[in-house]
Amino acid sequence: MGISTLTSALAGALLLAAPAAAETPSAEAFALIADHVAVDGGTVIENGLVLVDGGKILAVGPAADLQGTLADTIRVIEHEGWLTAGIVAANGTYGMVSGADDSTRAFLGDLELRDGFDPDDSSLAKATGAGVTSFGLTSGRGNVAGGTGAVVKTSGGTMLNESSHLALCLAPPALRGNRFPTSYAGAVHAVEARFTEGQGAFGKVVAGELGLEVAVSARHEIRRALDLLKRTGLKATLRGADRAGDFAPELAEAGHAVALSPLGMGTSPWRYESITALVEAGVPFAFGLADTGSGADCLRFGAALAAREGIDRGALWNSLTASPAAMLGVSGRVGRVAAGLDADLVLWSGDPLELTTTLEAVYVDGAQVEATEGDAK
Amino acid sequence: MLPTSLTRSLTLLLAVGAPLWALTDDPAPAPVETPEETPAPEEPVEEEPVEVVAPAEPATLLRAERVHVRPGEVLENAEVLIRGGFIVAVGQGLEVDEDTIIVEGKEVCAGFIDPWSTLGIDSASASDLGTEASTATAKAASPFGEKYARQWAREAGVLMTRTQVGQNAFVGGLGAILRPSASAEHLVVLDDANLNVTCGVSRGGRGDVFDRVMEADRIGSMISGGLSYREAQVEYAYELKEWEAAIAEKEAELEKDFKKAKKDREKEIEKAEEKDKEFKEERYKEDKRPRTPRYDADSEVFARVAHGELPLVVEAHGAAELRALLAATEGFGRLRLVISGATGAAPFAKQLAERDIAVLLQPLAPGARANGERSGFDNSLFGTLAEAGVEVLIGTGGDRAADLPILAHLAIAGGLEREAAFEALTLGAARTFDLADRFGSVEVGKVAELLVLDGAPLQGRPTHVFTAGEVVEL
Repeated sequence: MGISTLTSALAGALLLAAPAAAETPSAEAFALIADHVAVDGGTVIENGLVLVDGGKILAVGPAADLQGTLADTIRVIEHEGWLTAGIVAANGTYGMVSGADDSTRAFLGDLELRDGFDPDDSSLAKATGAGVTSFGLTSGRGNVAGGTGAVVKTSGGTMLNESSHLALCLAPPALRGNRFPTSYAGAVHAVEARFTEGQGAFGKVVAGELGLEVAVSARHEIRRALDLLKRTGLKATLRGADRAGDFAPELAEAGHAVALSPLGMGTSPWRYESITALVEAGVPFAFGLADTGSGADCLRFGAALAAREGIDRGALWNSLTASPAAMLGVSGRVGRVAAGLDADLVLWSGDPLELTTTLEAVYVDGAQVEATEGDAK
Repeated sequence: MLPTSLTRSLTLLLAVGAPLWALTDDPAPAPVETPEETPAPEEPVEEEPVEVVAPAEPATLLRAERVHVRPGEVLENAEVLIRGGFIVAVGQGLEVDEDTIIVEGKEVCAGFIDPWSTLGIDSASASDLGTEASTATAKAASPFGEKYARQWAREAGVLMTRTQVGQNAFVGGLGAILRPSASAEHLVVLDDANLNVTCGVSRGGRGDVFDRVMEADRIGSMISGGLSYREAQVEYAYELKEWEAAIAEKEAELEKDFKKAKKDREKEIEKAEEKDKEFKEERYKEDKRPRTPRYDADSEVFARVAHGELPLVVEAHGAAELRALLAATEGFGRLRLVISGATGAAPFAKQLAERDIAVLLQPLAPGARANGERSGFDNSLFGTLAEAGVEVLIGTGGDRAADLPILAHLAIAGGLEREAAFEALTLGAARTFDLADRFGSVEVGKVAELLVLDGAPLQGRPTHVFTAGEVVEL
């Protein structure tokens, strides 16, 4: 990556006239020019320019169109490679210093997970170093209702949404022999009753003020969750539903989303088939980190493996950025390289969905973070 | 078309029911075909008619936009003709018989070799800690287990593995080259690819640094032991020859004076009887046969290692072990050392390059954790070593040979040149484990273990593989 300051021959007056740069950049503004700028999974601008100011993206477009409008005082960073939005993990428990589970109570719906979050936890810096700039802070799988999650940045501790979703788990880790509910039937019954009562976090979900995440694994657990959601008329993100491909048309029709566990070495072929089914049915999907012991760099690696298997690259890139941002309700802030969004950007040596590509720089809120991909291990 | 004499021998061989290459594991001279010597198909065969018991197997022609003959050498719009399991011609516009099977694809290259694998043997053999130098992987090889792992290996283009028993044992035994996707008949390609030892790796727990370093010295002593063993054998052979010559000479001498000797002997017997004494046969100094050195299968293996007849693969990770290992092996001029694992090898790059020591690395996948002796492993080691001129090989280190092309990408991300990564998976691995005369490139005379890909090697996926004498569509 070469860094150089370009001088523009054009006067500041012309900059004001440029339609893309509606606002006047401040003295701190800078421009990133990259060979490829991936706005999202569907749009890549060749030789694109991203104008950053005050931690936000001010303008995005072809360098040929925008560069001439910049004042000659604006610092320009040229990058040979790709520029993308920061990766958004659909879920994660990074920074949950006191643990993401409470072993004594099954229902903790009104517990705010952000209260247990430490923005200085070292795992967060590692995630940033892997290009993961935001994630859905969620609970472990140890409680039927694990609390109310948030959406946080991995650097700087910014909360994009302090109360984003209710985290439920309808799978074995939440069903323990030493407390109620101990069975699937008991858990479904207890959850459904709480939605009917409409108190606290459950009431907010019913009222549409809070999102819903339901952790499941096996096919029968997905089936059970889908039936519950149908009865209650709710939409949810099915977390860890790696077999969701088997239910793809139903998921699409009901408007649910899926947060898959990451792909890795030795991933069985059925997982790729399942993702293909989700892509074909148009089910929004993303990858999460809450249910894996792997480092955050497994997100991009897994998506690159899926790209190698022939899965649509645009859908895969969206699954790392725009889709989880939408699922977490923060697409107005992160997930794409678009004017008005936070300047959470990553510079890569090549196409980030190629296995041979390496991370070269990370910006969060327009500031370069001292991290390299090696830190992610 | 082959010259008629070759056609005949080939026909006969095929009539026996085995492909030519299956009859011998030696680098047998393959039927070589040169276009200018090729008689036109309609030319009458002048030799006496051959009794054909069964028709010759049809040849296979692979036609591709790019044929990767060997790393760095590509032929555009070329063809590869395979007959009897051998590559008999590589070029453009090759003439073929009517019954030739034609396979078309984008790219053709040699099949990949995973030089660090446990595929093809049971997990107990792979993790056996009681192995000895002469314990042979080939004897544990099975074409039945791990059905999917073997199928996926083939689908990923990995047609051979260097499989090793006793991976973590101090002395692991003889590694074998196996075809993961082949039947029992074609499973073992080479039963003595290498000797494997480890230096300072965990076996239940990791010893302290002194224990680990001491293993390097023990490896040095075992190689020395191999040298002495071989020396004793050579000495014995020499003495035996001398003794046999002396005996022959004495026998000739006795033959000549046989009558006199017989008479003398009878006299001696008589004399002894008169004196009521026991007759003693004359002793000849030649009667003393040189003592046969004790045969020891393990020393035999170390002797072969010491003389460079077998490569020695040593798994070592820490800087202390690597330094000790390099020092302990320095005096053995013919030793062919390969260091596997090599987590802390970066500071030794120059020395490794100077001593032509190949390094076999297992790339670390993102998300995976490097534990124990591998902790601190970084894929940038690929770039560091390659830049210093070290030959770097890439292995999976387990039974998931199908991951090899993915790991090659990680090696490239770590700084290894794309072409060097391709070489590591083909000719590099073949060269290191004495397979290069038969495998590793797409050249006339080599055994056809080939891939037809829908894109560049490593990038593309195999659409067909040619392995163990037959073409398989994937």
